[in-house]
Amino acid sequence: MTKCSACSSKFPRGDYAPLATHYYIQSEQSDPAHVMWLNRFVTNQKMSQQDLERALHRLFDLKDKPVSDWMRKKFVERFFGVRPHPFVLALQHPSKRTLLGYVIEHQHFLRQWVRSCSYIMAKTDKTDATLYELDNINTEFGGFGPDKLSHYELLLRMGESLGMDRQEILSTTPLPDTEKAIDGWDDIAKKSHWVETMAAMHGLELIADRTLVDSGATLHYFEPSILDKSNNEVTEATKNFLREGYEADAGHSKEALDLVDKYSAEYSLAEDVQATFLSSIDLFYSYLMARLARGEKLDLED
Amino acid sequence: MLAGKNWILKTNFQGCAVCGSTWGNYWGEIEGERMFFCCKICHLELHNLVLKIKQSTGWEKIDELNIEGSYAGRNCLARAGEKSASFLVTFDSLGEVQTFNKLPK
Repeated sequence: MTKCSACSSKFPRGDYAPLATHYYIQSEQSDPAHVMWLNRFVTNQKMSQQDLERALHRLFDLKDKPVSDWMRKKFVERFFGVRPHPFVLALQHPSKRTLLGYVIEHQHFLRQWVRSCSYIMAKTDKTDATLYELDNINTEFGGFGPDKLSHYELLLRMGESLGMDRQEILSTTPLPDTEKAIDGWDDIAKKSHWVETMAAMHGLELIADRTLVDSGATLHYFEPSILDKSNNEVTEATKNFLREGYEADAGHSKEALDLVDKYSAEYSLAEDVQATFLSSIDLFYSYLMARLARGEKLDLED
Repeated sequence: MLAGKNWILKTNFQGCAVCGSTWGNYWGEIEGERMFFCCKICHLELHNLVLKIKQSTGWEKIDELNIEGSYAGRNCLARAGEKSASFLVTFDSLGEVQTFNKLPK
């Protein structure tokens, strides 16, 4: 089976005519989720059902390569392509506003992260997948003692280093698009196959994967020189947080995507993985916009 | 009264009044003028944008509004008589104005 990225309706695998008909009907009814998906991933110019079928075929064509190759390509197009995501641009040389927006919204993201990864462990009986998730949850949330703090703790310390009280950070509720994204990822984790959830969540770690430049990314998540010892653009706690992601995410996403390749082939799930991954990166796009919006709303002196 | 011959909300008259998409088939009214939108979210976005511009500028009416860009950020040039103002705007996925920054002339 494959499924609709916008509503998860199921369709026969490899046959894009029913999927094209589905999108076409939903578009005629002006359904926002389907129309926006067409606008963002296919084209914003209406085409015939036959042309749409061909366009969907092109969009999902793996070209006999592993599904992770396709995921990397789509991720680069969306976040690091001709028009990089505005948050990526802002993070090259980040302002206090940008970083605090990151802190406040990302604490909510990381809490959902643990829930999503826990669903994967609950659903799989594959030892390599379970071990991977255990390690990932500890890296992101649990930590490995005082010498190797979790990404979550490093995030909070970054916020404190920028002058925001920890209690203020923790008590700030997420913006609507962060909340919507979290609900979306929770829904994926609850309802989808664990391999799809792995793709949906760990595919997002591509954001800090330095090797994306080999896949066509025009820039890194942030300008690497801001981590230099002699660079005073950002606080030490900010360097510690960004360095952790910078060093961990390339390995994290590679290992997870290898598992996605292995098990999507074993379960014949590649098309479902593709559809769910596109849903996830669309949620991620809006979520990164919310980080910027949060920064703009803060009462700070520029 | 804002509706009338001088009320032109989009230089791009093809497709959705906000994003230019030709998918969808949603018609909605903005300040008395019936317009094509790809979906109800874009209709709500334009409704909220017009309110925000009027609130920000103090203008009672807007003669022309040109919107360019994508949902990563839309440049909006608004005109009222001889006056004009530009803004960089983003919307959240529910159609609310998320960021609204006046651009220097």
